[in-house]
Amino acid sequence: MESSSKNTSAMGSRNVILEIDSLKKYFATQKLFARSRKSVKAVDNVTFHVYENETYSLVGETGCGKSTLGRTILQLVPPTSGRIIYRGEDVTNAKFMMRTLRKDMQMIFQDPYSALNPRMTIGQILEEPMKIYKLFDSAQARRKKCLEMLEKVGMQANHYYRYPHEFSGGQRQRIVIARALILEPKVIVCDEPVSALDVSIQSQILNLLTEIKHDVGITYIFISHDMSVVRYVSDRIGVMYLGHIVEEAPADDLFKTPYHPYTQALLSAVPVIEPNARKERIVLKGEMPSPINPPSGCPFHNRCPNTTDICSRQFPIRKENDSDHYVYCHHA
Amino acid sequence: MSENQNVLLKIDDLQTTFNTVRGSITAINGVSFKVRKGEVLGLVGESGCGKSVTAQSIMRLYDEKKLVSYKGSIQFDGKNILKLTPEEMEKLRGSEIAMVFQDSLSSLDPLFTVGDQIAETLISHKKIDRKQAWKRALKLLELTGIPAPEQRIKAYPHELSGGMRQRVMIAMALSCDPKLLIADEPTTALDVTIQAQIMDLIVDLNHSLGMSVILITHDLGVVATVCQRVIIMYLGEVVEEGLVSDIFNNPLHPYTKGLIKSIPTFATPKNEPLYMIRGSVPVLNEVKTGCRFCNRCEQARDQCKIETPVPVQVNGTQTVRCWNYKNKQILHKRG
Amino acid sequence: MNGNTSHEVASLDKAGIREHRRIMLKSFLRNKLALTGLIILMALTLLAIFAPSITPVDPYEMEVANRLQPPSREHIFGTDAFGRDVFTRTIYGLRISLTVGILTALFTMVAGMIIGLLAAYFDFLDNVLMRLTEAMMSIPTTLLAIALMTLLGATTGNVVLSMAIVSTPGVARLARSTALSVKQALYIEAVKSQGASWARILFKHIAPNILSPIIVQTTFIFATAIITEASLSFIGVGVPPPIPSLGNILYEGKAVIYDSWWMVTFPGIFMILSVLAINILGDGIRDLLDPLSNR
Repeated sequence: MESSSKNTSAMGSRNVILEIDSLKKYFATQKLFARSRKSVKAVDNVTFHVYENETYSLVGETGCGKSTLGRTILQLVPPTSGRIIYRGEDVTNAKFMMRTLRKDMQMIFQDPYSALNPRMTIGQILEEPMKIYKLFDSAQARRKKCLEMLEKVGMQANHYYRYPHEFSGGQRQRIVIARALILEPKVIVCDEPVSALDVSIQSQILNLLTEIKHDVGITYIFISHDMSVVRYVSDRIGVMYLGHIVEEAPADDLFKTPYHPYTQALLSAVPVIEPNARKERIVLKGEMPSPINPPSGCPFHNRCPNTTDICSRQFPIRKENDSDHYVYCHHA
Repeated sequence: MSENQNVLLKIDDLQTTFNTVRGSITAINGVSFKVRKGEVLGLVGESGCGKSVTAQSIMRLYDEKKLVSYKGSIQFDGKNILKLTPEEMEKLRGSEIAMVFQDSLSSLDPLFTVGDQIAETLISHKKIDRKQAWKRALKLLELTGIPAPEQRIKAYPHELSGGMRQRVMIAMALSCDPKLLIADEPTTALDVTIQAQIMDLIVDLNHSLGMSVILITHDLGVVATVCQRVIIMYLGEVVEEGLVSDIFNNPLHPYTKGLIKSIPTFATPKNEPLYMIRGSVPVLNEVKTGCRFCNRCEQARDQCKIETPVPVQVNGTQTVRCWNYKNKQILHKRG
Repeated sequence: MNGNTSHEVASLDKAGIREHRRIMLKSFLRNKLALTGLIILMALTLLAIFAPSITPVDPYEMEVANRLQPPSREHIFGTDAFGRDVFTRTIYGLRISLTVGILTALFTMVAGMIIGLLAAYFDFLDNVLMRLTEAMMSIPTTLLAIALMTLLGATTGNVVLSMAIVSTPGVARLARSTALSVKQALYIEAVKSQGASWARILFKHIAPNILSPIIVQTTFIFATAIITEASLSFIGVGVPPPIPSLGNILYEGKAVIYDSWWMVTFPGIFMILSVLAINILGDGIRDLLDPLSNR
């Protein structure tokens, strides 16, 4: 498998900062003495790459594995197999490098209410990573950096001594963002960063994330189930279903011409405000199968309106339909 | 007026006040609106606006001895709900007005099968026996489109998926043919494809049974697809009311305008920052006189800081609570 | 760059912290029962600390001629079988019982927390530690204490040790279960993603978040320890005589209970008061710290 640091496709000479190769994450179910040990195939053979300074989104519904994929990329859960290649180097099993790597890859979490330690002040929360990495020699220097960060995310200096429970959801999320930025990472995985926030706060946080990206130059891996938000923030999008990426394309292309039947169904189900933009809804039969017992062949075949015999026997190979627009389907 | 015959629920100047450790908090402050027979009314707002409090006040679900006190009136089908005795209220709940909640897993008792729980409502309201109740429960599950209802009826709540549990909740709500269904964020916790199915179901039931629905949500997209009329709430007050087409094509209140502008849609240009309503929702007990939105409002005037605006009817279908609009007709006198 | 000096930052926000503490204090003070418990406990503690000043009599001094005297002006609680002043012995006994109780509680809290935290964080330790604690919990408390005392010998220190060993499994399991749910929190994941070592995560981040139920439990262990010590003394394996403890005074009084009621009654009252006060206080603390109580 190539581990190119430059990708010379129609994108021009953009750097690939992160490459995910055949990544799998299976969770063992607890039955130690069962005859057959079944696994939850949360992430099943996922391959994609992310360019520097882009926003790559992972979308899908509950159970598709996008959150697990985000955590596996950061090695918060150890991958079952596959490779993670950061800036051309295989870092999958680089335990001794992990500490340095962690500085470069951070995470923003979904629930601002449990993402901050309730027993620590904001100042302590923000200074903790600096202490772990022994950045800055003096407490004063750390505090200065801390106050800088607070200002950058739109909070005030006097919030330094407060506790998380004194803040609203939107403010807490800003603190979560500040914490992620403190180590000056190159890649940030955003796990549903605005899903738990009020609608009017979402736009504030999304704008903040965009501002930071342009200011500092960060690559985002943006995980969400909200298609409208994803369309607005992303450069490229990967649609996930049952642990697999089923379609991958630049944002506008995906919305204009979705090839995979699941993507089409997903887009048609989004409730839109403009009456003219409403598409005919594609109703999928059944429900998403359990990742313990995924269907054979194409994972989507038992709910797909276009399914044929080959779909239940063989996993589809990756096809490039348009430039940089890939789909995993026998018939698309 | 002949219009009154069409009105199922009429709320006048409802105030709900909570007595807490931190003092007395008036969660909703003079809310008035109507629900007509057979219509789907959307109740939209963000957290803290009081939409859930309104719903639970209609059903009088709060502890009235220690926690809460009500003012105003809620006229339902000729009776004032706030004046009913607890026994009369119990007869009303579940049979004439039914409610569906957001979190179906915690709204269903984990120790009883789904069939038992639907049957329970039937048994206590319709005074039929268990066998008949189960038969009817099965019919209701079929009505809500659950696949394989004969098996599902014997299942426990945790054995079902979120979408199916929500259908069970709807089946329970429908069991006694209610005139009004209050759905409090019924699909917020569900995936978008399941959400679409549940919304379809609610619309179907509204058409086939003629049941009125108050749909509480923060998702304007859902409102646009499903509701006929909409009420927008902010910080315990109704700030705008109108038909769905009115609200989206011609929003009047600055908050409504801001809300619609700040949500990314498929048409939002990508390289510009999203519109932001500046500031954030103030804490309820910090609210002073004047318009509650004025410190975040782009069209604020001097009058707004001093006097609380009253709802005015701007055209045949739209009402707004804002000093930027002329008094065509003052609708509700503040008591 | 904002011009806030750290002095300004500090003063700008003490207000927030003060407000929070004020509300906590207010709700605690509302709980009259808990307040009563606290006052009684403080009174008893003061009595115990200042024992030598309160009663100049030596608790070991025997006046055999005066044995088993009923309460009088000279000996307000009477004398015991060796002619020692029961009042003095009771107060000193209170001192010992309270000390033994609190040392047991503290030891249990620390040991239980460490075991529970390690078990919650490391799967391979979890099995081993939990089976050990289960084994210990399946032995009746008093029997285990007796066995340990017999093994280790009769000193006050060993009384503390045996009672602590006996109570630790309970606290360990509580610590483990609370730590397990705290471990799932996003803020723990966050600090992991920032390179924190397991020790840092366990002791700096998880431990403070499991304190509330542990503190409540420890309070009750304090109370139980006083009674358990009495039970041990009753069997003769408690604090060794002639050192007075509420328990062994009761033990000595048991033989003469019908004739010399004062030997059992007064220490008994003090014991009841202590245990009651601690239990009520523990309830109050639990109400205060319980996140489910009305907010």
